Amino acid sequence: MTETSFLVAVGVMTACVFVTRLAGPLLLRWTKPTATQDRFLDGLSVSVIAALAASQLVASDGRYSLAAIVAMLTMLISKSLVWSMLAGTLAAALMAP
Amino acid sequence: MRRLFPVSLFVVAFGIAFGVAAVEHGLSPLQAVIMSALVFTATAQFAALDFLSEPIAFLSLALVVLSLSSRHIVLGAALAKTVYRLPLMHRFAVLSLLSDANFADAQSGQKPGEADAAALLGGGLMLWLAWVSSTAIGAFGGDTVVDPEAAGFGAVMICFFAATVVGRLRTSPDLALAVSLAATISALTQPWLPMGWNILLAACVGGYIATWSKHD
Repeated sequence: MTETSFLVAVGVMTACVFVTRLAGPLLLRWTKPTATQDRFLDGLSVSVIAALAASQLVASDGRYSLAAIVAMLTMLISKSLVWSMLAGTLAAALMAP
Repeated sequence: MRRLFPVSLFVVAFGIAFGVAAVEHGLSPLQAVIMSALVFTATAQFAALDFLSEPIAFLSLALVVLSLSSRHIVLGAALAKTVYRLPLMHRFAVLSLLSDANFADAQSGQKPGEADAAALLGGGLMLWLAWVSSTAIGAFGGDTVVDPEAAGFGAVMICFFAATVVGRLRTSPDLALAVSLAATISALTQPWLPMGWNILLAACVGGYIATWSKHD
């Protein structure tokens, strides 16, 4: 692969990723969100995080499911994201083969 | 940013793995670092490695990168209110550094529809630095191969997302049905939809269900 080909390829990739990062706010710039659209975006923002977690859980082994449960319970009790991650990761480490 | 430190360890493990993989695919160490610095999205970068040999199929490369990054459209739309309160240059900086992790971090502890712009920018910068520097370690480090799963980092991101969802549901319990459905749809469609599209579908369904919920 030549240097020029690499630079063009990285340029294409950078442009594509940047377009997706800009597109969401730009799409909403020309519309004044209604109350329904506000609720849609609220739901969207938390649903995308839940979907990412679920997707990763499906692709991983069972100990990560238990780690996620430990993290969620810790979050309920401690309200601390840091403690939740540490507790969940520790649970996964303890179950490592 | 303190909340994102454990996540950045996970990013470091994958960054090293990407650096090693990039060199194995024929890129020079410097090219691997340049790609990480400019593109800054792990899944698309890993997928793109298979396209980076002569003759490069630029259209296929663009389509793959667009589809794998399309969830950024959803993240950006959810951040629109926060983004438009910022000066122009800050908007570009925040959006350039947008990733799943700093998006989730910026949502935690906020009211519905709000996000912490400082957490987005600071967290994004920390993750970018972790990604680029760890790519350099992997690319210049030679034969050292790091398996993030074996290193035990695999659980960090999942725990981070799961705990963030619980944090959001504490302030917005009316979104529980939307979240449950989104998680279910994402898990069920993950094996047979192209990578990333299950997230988009699930997030849109969750958003739609949320429009039925009662709101303050």
